[in-house]
Amino acid sequence: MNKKEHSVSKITLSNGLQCILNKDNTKGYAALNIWYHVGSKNEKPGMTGFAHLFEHLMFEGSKNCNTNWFSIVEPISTGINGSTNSDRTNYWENISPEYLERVIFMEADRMGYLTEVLTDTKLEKEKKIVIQERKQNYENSPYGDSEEFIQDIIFPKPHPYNWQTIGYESDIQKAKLSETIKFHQNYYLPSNSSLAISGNFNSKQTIKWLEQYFGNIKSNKINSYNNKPLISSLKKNIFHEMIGESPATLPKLIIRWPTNSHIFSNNEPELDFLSTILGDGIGSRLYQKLITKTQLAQSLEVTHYSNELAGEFDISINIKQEINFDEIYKITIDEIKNINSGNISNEEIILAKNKYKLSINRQLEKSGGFGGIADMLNYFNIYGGNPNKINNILDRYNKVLKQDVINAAEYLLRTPHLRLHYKIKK
Amino acid sequence: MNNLPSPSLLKNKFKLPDISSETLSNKINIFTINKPSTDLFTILFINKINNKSTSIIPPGAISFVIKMLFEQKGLNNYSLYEQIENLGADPIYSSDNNFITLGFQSSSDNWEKPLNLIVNSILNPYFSEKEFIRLKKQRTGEIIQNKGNPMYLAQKGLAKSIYSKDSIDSFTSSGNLSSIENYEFEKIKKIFKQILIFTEDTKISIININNDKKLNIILNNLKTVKNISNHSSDFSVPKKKNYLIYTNTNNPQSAILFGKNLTLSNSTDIILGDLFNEILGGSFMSRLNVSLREKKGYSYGFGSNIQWNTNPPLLIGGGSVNSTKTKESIYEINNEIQGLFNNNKISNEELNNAKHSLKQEYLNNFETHTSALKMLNWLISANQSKNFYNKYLENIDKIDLNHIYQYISQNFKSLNDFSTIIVGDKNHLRKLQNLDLINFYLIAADEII
Repeated sequence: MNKKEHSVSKITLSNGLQCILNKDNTKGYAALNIWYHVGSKNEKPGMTGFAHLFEHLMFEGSKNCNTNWFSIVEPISTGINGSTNSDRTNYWENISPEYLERVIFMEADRMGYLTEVLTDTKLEKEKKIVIQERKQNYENSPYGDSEEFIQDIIFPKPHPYNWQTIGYESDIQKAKLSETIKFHQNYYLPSNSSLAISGNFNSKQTIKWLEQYFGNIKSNKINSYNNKPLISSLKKNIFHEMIGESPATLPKLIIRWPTNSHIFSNNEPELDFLSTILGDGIGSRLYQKLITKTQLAQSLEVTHYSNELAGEFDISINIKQEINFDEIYKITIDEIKNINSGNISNEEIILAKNKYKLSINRQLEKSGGFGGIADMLNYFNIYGGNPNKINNILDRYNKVLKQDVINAAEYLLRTPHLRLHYKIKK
Repeated sequence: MNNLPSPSLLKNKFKLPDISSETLSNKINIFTINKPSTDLFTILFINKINNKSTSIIPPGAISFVIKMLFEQKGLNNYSLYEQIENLGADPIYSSDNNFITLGFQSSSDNWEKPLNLIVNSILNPYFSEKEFIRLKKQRTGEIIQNKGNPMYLAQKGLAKSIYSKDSIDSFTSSGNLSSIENYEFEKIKKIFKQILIFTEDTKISIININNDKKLNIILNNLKTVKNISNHSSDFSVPKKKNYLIYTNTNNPQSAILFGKNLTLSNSTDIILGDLFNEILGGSFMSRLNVSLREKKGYSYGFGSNIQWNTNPPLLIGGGSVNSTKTKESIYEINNEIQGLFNNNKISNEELNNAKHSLKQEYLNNFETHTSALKMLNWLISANQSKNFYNKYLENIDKIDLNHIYQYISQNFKSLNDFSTIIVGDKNHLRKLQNLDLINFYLIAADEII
């Protein structure tokens, strides 16, 4: 457990904005983090990539501060950034404490008064940058071109996880100014957001500023969106081969399951542990079998991630020769069967628990940035309805038993998956 | 234009943590920071590489030896990595051509067994030829896999361009395919015994423990050998070359890296260099990022950094740009560098912003266990005193534009003073062969790995 209990207080302004405070004056800055409960799942086919493109526009200035955000905030902070995923968009700044009021003012201004100064020039500029981001992270990155395909297969339409958050280039190109304005009006509302401040600040004064600057922003009626879990309609295992266009040099076997393990689902921790036991580190089962013993593979990653509506379990293996695709697939599935048959030790469970404990201890040391305390307070508030859950973060993991991991293996074996052979262009 | 709230009177009273240092009876230096807020403990042993001649140390061998230490299976069929993990700790190991760093992180009540294990593995090394062959194959595979990363290729090109071919610095730390192919078991064992030892030069960084008697006994009892002389300054500086490295894929972007060694006469140069870097490419609003991303839209992000712990220090700028705008990007970079001395000189506002950012950054870099460890290790590898960070913050406000210009003008005037490497699509790169600005050599990616 973390030595320190995080003191968390939450207030809700009259317009519905939820504000969470976690004071820690041992820190040299105040971390401000705001989540808007909107992501690529709120997009429609033909408008993919819109939530992320909009995130970029939020840094282009608002009515009372119509200038690039970085030019003002960078000199008074140690970090400023934003990100978009399928379910939410976040923005954060780690601010020198004496400038907290300024950044609260600026965040309020772009929540309430952004669209009045949005222009085609700003939109066209950010489209160019986002397209370069797409090229850098997907088209010019090894295997980056596989993700679009995988997403489309494992979450068949009309599932809102059918496309990647970055979107299709053709959709990004055709985004219109009128649509961005409508997007802001629909989703960038006090009642659709959660704001957390962690670190060095004066609570009483900060609450006054939050009320002063955010309090007058109206919450129009939000477009209703169903955030309830939604499982994939994938009905059977899919096998596919693709010749990659990316600069990858080794073939890759990708096995991806769409899972029902949405955030805070019962099987989230047990699938996390299964991924750790299968593929985290040199001692993990698949590493030992595929890399150390048979030497058929070069490297591998096993990942389980939970999102708001559903989860994904991924096994990605960089292999040495295409001829070994089938053998590696069989060894991998056999290993999951092996766990399902009960062949798992208590030591493996303890090891997985240790890894999570160290990892969470490291994560919750920092107040700001991605995955820091302020970010996690919003995570627990938006998805779990209670930011105080940050103090019990390990409880669910401490309760995992051997049988739970066996159940997780059994679940994977009966859940349809995609088996993708990514081949290298000759 | 903007009516922004003024800064409040609330002053940041946050101070740098105390860094303590101690020399043990065996001459090993220990640097410690205490961060009791979390239940974590980290210890790292840091050894400097004193001989960089490729005739003594084949390229990539240092990194390979560390890999052997942690990843080869022992007689009990477990690697050191697995054994440390099984004790509930996280192994940590890395190396470049300058330093070896190894140790572990654990909860604060669980350090003794992993520490004894790691010390014993260094003092009583085990070697298996079968494992040597396996790990050699794996390292070859890693390089082939990394060949798909354009920035990895650019780093290889930059090392080849800047450093003498007789020095391991002219290769990235993983070496290259032909050097690995020639590794011999006995030679690697010998290198292992040369570099994985405790010497009077060995440094230890520890986070979260102070004056623990048991720990002091273990560390004081480490047998050390005398300092090994430094041979690394014997290499002649090669004539720099600029490379266009083409791949077999139609890269939609070109990866650009440019680099140059910097002078370093005293610790004030580090402040001068840091401030300049912040303005050139070390921040979002830096000149390179504003030019190539914000104004032109050629790149998602472009930046620079300075590696102070290489000898001499190295300034590197880089990023990925749209393939069709590679030539334009090179001219933009050159304009930004030349502009610093001509029509676009650094303003006092830019300098003040850079000072404010760096001050904040230095303070907050000690926030977490991991970031404090990074700062401690930097102090050790850059050979600075334990008071360096306090002095840095005391002195940064004394710097003015004249100081900055004195420093940078003795290092470069234009992009042509740097080595420039571009990795990408052959058809786009070919067009750059006849630039009036830079003379490039076109080579295949296979020639560099």
